[in-house]
Amino acid sequence: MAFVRRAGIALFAVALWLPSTPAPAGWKLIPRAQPVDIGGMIVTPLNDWNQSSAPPGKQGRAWTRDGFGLNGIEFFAGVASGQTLYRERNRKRNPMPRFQSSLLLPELADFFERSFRVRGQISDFSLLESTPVQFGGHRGLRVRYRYSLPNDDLVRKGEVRLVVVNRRLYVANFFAPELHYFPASLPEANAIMDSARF
Amino acid sequence: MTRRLGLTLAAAVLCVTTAGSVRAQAKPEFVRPPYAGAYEPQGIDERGLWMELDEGERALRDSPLVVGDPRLHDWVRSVLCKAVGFDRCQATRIYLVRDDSFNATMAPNGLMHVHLGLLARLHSEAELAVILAHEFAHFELRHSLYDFRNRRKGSDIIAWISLAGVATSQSTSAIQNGVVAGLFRFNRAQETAADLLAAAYVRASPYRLRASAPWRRLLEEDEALRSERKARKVRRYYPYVTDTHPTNLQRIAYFSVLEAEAGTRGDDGAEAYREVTNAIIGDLFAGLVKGNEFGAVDYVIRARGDALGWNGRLLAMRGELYRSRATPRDLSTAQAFFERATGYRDAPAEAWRGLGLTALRLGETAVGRSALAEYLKRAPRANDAGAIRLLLED
Amino acid sequence: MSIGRIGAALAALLCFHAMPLLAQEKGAVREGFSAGSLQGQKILLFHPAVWVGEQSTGGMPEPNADWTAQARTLLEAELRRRQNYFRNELIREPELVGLDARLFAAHRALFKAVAGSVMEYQFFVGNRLPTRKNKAFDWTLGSGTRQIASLTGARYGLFVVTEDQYGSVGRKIFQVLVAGVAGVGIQSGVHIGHAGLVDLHTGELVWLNADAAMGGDVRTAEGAAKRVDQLLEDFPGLKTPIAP
Repeated sequence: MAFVRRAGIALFAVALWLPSTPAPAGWKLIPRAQPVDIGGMIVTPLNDWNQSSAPPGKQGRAWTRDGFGLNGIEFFAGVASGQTLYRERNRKRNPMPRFQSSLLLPELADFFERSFRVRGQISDFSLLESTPVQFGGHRGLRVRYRYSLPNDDLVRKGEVRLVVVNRRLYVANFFAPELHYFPASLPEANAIMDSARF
Repeated sequence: MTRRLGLTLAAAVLCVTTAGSVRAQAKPEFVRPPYAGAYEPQGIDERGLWMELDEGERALRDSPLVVGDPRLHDWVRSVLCKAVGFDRCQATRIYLVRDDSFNATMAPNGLMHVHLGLLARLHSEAELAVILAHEFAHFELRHSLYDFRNRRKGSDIIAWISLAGVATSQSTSAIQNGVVAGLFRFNRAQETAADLLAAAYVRASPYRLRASAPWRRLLEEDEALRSERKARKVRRYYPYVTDTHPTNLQRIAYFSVLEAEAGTRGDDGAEAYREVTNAIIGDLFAGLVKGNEFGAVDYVIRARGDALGWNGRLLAMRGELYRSRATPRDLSTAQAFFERATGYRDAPAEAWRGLGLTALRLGETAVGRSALAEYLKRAPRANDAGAIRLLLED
Repeated sequence: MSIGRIGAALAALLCFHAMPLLAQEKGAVREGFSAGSLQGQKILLFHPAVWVGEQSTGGMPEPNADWTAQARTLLEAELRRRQNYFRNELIREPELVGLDARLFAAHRALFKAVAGSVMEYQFFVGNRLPTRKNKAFDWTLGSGTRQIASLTGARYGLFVVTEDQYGSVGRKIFQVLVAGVAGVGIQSGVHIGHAGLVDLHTGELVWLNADAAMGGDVRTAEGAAKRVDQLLEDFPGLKTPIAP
């Protein structure tokens, strides 16, 4: 074979959001302090980040500083009605929920939870808080949650912003282990989300 | 080779047990043989190793996946003890795991996992008793899997298997030899042996033998899901060579025969099961309802409601399921469930939340706003109160 | 083999993983750390994190309680046996309850995640993050480790993690089919191990040994011994270094 792949499907791969898929073809450096357009959403990072060339969903981009098992931010811009947030791997056997533009603001939290659970095959997930927030200059929803991955004891946390503008969904989702990594990058994650324009 | 042995075993069990019931002779008194004690590590080194195993288990207590509800834990333990006897259940430590699948496992050091997904799908203490006894049977039959020299002699186990409805005929010895031969070689035979031993434990307990119903329901749940997804239905009787368990149909077959023999003697413990699990409907179903197996979960909730009765919490859960899928017809169906839920005394605040959101989605603004206001009144510090209030301000 | 089977096997090949062709780094040391740094310090040995299960033909790994218990027993015994190999005093993780117990458990879980990231994103040549490529070895568990230091009196913490997935029958059958067609070795199973040393005063990772293709069947005594050999290879605190 011409290209190199990882041996085996390790549990670490699950933690790193790479279940049974080939290794990403590469990474792109996102340099600090420069606004960057990610498919219709413009954000400005404070530090250098790495963008994966394997998008989490059709309208998505995923960034990490130290690897997705330690920190990650996903951005989704302009998900239309009938589309999924995360990529659907098997429509028949493992269907992804589809966004409906008629969803009410509080229901965006349910939609995110269901999508996130299917994405990671997660049984252990709880919504902590769901409050209004400004996002991209619009009135959106901020959801805080905690979860753990299958076969993994590490407690993880997340903070996601969601808003529907012109019947399309915009999402920015930051996630990291609760111990050290979540609090360490939360201020920057919030700054990036505050900087979002769409 | 594996397949043939498994089939032989199953067929032999069926033949012999059928023959036994036809004869309708005086059944042997079901008394458990004395328990020789859990595997005790031999010598200083092994004892040290066992302590290491136990230390490792301590970490489990801190796992986010373990449910730390003492009342729930004690109740599950009491069912196990009633099923296999107090001398046997002393060796076990039970951990309830936040997992939606129908499963329980037991490790050679006596550590037992019970998934919440199992409790969501069972309908009585008697059903739970057989499943827990099955896991315990694994423990009693194969705890020394990796240490052949020290393994306990299976003689009392053999006595059990002969009591387990397999009438005294020459086939008994064939099965015993088959089981002994298969025990350390073929996983599928081990599972069947554990099933037979579990049935034997339960028959010597105060519980009625209710072994086949959960497996029937699993089949129906599976079919409900395939039907919803419009996938080809498959009912497999003979396991494939890579399977480590008898198929559900095989289990149903031999359990049904054993149940017919055991008769109606014994308690179901349905009342107690209902009472304990009603208090944790949220824990049992929240994950299932938020998953993507609509057909299966709808079946599980309906089956529980039909068997153990409906209440505000269960109806609200069913409403959530339909609200999540949210086809236009689903929203109306969900609304009806939420409305019914609010009529119960134990109705959770979430019933009004669901009612309010579905009404708003259906364009019934006044009904929706009023229900959401009621939700906020009942749960002013709900974790999404801020979002709901914002909705009402518009 | 029929055309259909070749086609199917080749198609499946695209979804499965081949052996890595490029070399993979296995160890690193933080700048400024050496055997001398360990002088006179106590090392806390955390409970080894052991996971053993089965790999289904193409899906999620499934845990096996028996194998895990077996492997944990053997690996802990091996580590205990080698206490004399270390120049420093080795303290075992104490028995704790409640919040203290959770503190240790959480750090063990976090080490596993950090070590996995180092392996995936800095060691493995095919997937290095631009922000990590050719940069110094600089990873941390966070300063929460200070509490562990004060509870135990240890300055350094030694973590050991192993993860083994044995190929199931289905996977082995697939392996044979594919190997026959394309002559490529599809690895059945996963055998990963990490050993890492953390400065408990800062949370920084000062030494790491991370191997994605470990040898030894951890369910046997000989295999566990071989595995521990590989894990402690190049550990700076040993009286006699272990020959690779």
